[in-house]
Amino acid sequence: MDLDLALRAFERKRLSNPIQVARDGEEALAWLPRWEAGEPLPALILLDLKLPRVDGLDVLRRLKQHERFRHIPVVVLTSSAEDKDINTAYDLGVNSYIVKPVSFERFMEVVQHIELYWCVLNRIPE
Amino acid sequence: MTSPPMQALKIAGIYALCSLLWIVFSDRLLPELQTEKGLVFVSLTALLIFFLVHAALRAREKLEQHLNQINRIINRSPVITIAWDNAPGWPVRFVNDTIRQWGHEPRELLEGRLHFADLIHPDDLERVNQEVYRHFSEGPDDYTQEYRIRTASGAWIWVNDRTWLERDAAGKVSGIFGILQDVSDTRAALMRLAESQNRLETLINTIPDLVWMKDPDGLYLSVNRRFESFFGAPRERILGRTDYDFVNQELADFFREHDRKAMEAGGPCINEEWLTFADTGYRGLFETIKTPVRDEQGRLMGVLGISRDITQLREAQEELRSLNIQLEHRVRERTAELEALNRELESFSYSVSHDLKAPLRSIDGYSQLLQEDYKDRLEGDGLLFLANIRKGVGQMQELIEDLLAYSRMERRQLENTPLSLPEVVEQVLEYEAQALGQAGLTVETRVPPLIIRADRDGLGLVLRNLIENAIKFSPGAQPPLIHIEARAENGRVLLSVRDHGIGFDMKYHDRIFKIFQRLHRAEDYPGTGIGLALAAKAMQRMGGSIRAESSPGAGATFYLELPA
Repeated sequence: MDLDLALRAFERKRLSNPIQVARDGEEALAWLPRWEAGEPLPALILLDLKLPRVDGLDVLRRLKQHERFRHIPVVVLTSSAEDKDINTAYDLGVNSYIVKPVSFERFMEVVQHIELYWCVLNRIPE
Repeated sequence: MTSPPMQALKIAGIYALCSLLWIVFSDRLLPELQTEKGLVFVSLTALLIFFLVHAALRAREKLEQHLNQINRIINRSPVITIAWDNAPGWPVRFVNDTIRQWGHEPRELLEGRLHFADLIHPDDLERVNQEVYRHFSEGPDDYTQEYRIRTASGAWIWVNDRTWLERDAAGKVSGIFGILQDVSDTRAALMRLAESQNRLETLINTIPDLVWMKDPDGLYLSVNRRFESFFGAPRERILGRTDYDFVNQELADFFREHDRKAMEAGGPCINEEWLTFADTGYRGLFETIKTPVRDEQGRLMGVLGISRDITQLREAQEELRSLNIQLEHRVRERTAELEALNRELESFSYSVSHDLKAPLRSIDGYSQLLQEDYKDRLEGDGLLFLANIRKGVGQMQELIEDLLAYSRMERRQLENTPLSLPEVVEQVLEYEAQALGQAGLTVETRVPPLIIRADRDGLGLVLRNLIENAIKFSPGAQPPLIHIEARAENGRVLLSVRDHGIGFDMKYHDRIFKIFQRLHRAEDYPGTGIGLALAAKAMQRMGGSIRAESSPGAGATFYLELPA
């Protein structure tokens, strides 16, 4: 339901970038071999922390430990505002941490800001 | 030297002999000798008498000189020389001048105004008399006695009397001679010594420790009563013997070994040993201190030993130790339990923050999509229902956020740093500026530059809550003011937030600080019922306190107390 709403929010804000969805931590990590095999790297990864099977923080750790993929910007977008989660995410090298607002209206604003900042303004190493 | 009567007799005899010769021969001799010769004879006899008398006088003078000397010596000695007759009351025949040291004049005694028996203490007199008469009948004639003598001022002096008896030809005692010496000081010193020895002995025999002393060869010199009980023998049997006479070879070797250690170390040596008492069979753990003892010249006299029963002490120590271990164990267990509980609580609030919000987000999202995309197909009540759903979502969201904040305040590590109070207040007012503006309220602050010790976020949260609370209950308040004041008091800082709002009845005072407790319907005054509970929790965790004063319609004042 969260995913469906998120996608609808992206759609309503007419995000220009194509979106790939991983439904749990395992699916997310399954992307690593595909990128290694030559598929194009994403411009940005939006990561929820509470994922089925493999925890979002574990996915983050794996990404940020990877020689090549650690430069891909990762934005944690989650409902947890716990200090523990925020601290751990930053310790693991997250690029940004945003608490998912409950209000759909606010969520759409947040999505728009994220795309503007990370996909338009921000530069990453080639 | 001849006695005076004999000497006088000798002179008279010579004189008589000469006169007789004169009577017998003068008639026949005188005509022949003539007058001149008679004169010669008289002269010769006179000369003879002169020499005889002179010699006698010389001898007497010498004797007197001698007596004088002796008298001087006697009178200079500290002792009193006295001689008395064997007659009732002991009349004094001779006493030297040193009797004056007791305030008595020799004359009083010599002239019979005072008898020797008058000077003797009435309690001692009978004993002295009995002793004297016993010596009269049984001898020896030379003996000593001690008794008390009265001084002229009425004080009593202990004397040592060296007495000897003078007997006549028939063996009857005619006189008694005494040399008296003041022994009061010596006697007092001896008594003090005996007393102190007695005390010491009582002490040593009363203490429950074993006390003993051995010479360097291990022979017992002294033991106390408790020690007698250990060996099961009276001290007379122990003194002069060694450990080998009382305990088995192994234990005696052990004792000896530690004696030697102490003597070699030259100072106290401590060891522990299990001892069994010979008389009662009691067995206990003893702590023994052995100390070498030296005389004034530094020669080793022996080893002093003191043994204390530490059985119970050791048992108590062991018990304490095991209790401590148990306690530590229990503390660890409880800590682990608490930690587990805390982890559970954390994971609970984690779930609340994620799982409770997710469906809420869906309700909000889809109700909004419905509102936006299907508005034209809904009407009247349908639109109202949708609006109510969205309002309910808003309240639910607020509730979850407050609940999370409360649970975070319970768990999080608070800092305790010095903060500038005016600065904290200023920051909070900046944060609330918009809300205050919308409510048409002005804040008057009277906050002196105080430094407090608190958690910056915690205190900020409390102040925000109090201001939001004041805004909420001040619609139409007159005057439209909120007052924030602070002052230092007894090493603490008192901060107050006062409004002119609706106030509350003091009987609800304690309820307002409890979680989910509300005094008003949500329709009238929106809120979750967590705000003040959260403030109270934060104050409690920062080592401070919160209370309020109010009455209905008269506004409310909230007081914060914090360590300075």
